[in-house]
Amino acid sequence: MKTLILLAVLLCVPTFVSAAAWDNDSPNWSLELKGGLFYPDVTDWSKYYGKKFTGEYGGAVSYKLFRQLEVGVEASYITATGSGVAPLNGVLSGEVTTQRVPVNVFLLARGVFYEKQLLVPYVGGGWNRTFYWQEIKHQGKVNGSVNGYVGRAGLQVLLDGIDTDASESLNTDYGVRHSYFFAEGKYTNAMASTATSGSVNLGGTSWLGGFLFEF
Amino acid sequence: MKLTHLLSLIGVFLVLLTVAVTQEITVKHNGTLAMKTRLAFAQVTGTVTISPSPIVAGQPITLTVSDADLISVATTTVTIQNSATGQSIVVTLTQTGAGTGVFTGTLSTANATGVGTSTVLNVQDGNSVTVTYIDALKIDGTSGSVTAVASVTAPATATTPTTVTGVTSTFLNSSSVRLNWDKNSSAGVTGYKLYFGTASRLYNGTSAEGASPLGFGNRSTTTKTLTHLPAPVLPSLPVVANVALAPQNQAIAVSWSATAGATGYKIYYSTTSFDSGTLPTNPVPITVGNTTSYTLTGLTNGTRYYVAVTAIAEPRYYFAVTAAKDFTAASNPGSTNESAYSAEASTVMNSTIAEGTFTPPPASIIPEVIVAFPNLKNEGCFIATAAFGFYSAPQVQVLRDFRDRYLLTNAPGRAFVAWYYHYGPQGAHFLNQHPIFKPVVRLALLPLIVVALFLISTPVAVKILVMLSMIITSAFLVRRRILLCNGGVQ
Repeated sequence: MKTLILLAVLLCVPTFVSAAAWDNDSPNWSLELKGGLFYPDVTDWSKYYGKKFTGEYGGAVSYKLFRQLEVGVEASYITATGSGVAPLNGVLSGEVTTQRVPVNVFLLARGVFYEKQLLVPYVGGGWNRTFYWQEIKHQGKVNGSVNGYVGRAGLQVLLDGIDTDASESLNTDYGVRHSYFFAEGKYTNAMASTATSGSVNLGGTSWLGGFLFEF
Repeated sequence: MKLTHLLSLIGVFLVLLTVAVTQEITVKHNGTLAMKTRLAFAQVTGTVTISPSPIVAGQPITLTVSDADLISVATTTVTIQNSATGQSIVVTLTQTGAGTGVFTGTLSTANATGVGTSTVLNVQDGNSVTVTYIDALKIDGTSGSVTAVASVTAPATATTPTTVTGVTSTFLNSSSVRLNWDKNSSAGVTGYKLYFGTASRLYNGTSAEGASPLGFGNRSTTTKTLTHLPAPVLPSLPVVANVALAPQNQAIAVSWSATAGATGYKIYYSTTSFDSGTLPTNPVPITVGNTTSYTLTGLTNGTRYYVAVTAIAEPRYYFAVTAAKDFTAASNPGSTNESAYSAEASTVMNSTIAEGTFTPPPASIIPEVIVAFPNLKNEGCFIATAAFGFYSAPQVQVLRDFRDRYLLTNAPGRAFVAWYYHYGPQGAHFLNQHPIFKPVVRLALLPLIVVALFLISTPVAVKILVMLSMIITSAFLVRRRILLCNGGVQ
């Protein structure tokens, strides 16, 4: 077990090899398209919104400073519709829609050591700005944005070998050097003020899957 | 002239005549012996026909040749060709009876592309088929071809007629109703069926014209009057069950379970409680249709409202129309013979309404402002956002922080914020409509932004120091001004 953990850690530690050290076909850009489940970091979320999670869909684009290190921007969209509370009556009531768009500027390290590496672990994090909109049907809406931080880690699987003809065509026609499927976990912390002088974390834990295209 | 001479002349004439119209001929068709006969009548041009025309793809066709020249042969042949595929088949036709000169034969077709077998002609919708008969002796004594051409159509499919639209019912009197609808153009429709009854989708009515469903008319019929409809029997309505109230901002959402026999509901509400004997009339109770929810609006937040719902039943007839291929045949709506039910139309037959009761006490609740979860704070700064063009502009953020730290922490500040939130969106809208003013507003906001930035980003000591400096400077300037006014020197 210790060996496995050590191996995983080693894979996650990038060896900052200059891009020049790699052949000319090494990619310079990454594009991620992903979706999955978002678990808000708020107690009692399911009481008001019916379930503990909601959908999250987004994408990211990043530039590779080195083959293993990239800087980029990520954005996603999260929405949930549930009930509010009527405090005088002490009951759930009304229809509340809460939407968020977390925007992240991140630094990401990918444990890739040769171009045809089948499994590539990655880890990263950065600054977060979460924009939010909240509407109570027939009553009104509020909006705002708050700062926070984000961290994420995952594992990507090289797809090039599944259909070499298709991957070559992608490379020739669109400049896609590699295609990966990936699964990742992400944690976002973005504390927002509440109307009652308290604060709440608009972030949470995301479990996402998607495709990564390296150009 | 002697009689013998006369008879001889007549005989010679008859012989010559016989030679002239009776001759033995040989006809070759496609290089083979097709017929050999003695023509004993005047020569006639034959005809050829295809039945049915147009040909239905996949259905057999009958080919017929009629030629009085061919009375003494048993068979003849024709050639049939699909011009789309080029497939050609020689078909042998048999004389239908001795001496009739009419020959028939059948050929199978297949609804298929390409060239079929030697006995099946492949055809498809839109193809054209030509039958050619070689007539050895036409009326002008020559030989030549006679043709017939038929188009091909797709085989008919068993489709349900489209749903009848535009159904309306018009009250004529307490027992008569006139129905109108749009003409149905579906293939095969020959008339309509009228369904009617005293409950929605329960069509068991009777009338002088017949019982439901009533078949009648033709494709173009678009109206029907029903007379002598029995007066609907109003049901005894039970108490409406599961009345639930949900508070909203200045409103109450009311919901209940559907009640058997009800055609609508009546909602009574009041700020004081009531029972079934003292139903409130102010506010006026609201009558709603056959639904199970309604939202009472225009209420006062913080005031308890009492609400009761009763079921009502009107003497109403319900109607639906279907288009039928055979309106005399028993069939179900949505079958191949009959379209699905049209949208339902209904008519109230008289003003008598049955109303149920409710079991006191009425349900009650307090309308109030709903609080979202999480109860996020509005960070909108309308005019500044419009002026600087971006919600997260640093200048807007400075004003937002100033609001949170210096306005929302005291009553006058909160009152100002409330006033601004009421009128701010109008100002922002004006700015967005007239962007030429945005630089002016940005300039006007600049001192406020500088002051706000100073207040929110400097320590208390600095604030006190700056304030003291300003006071001292002001005092110095005022004193100097007074000295100047009193004749002093600068």
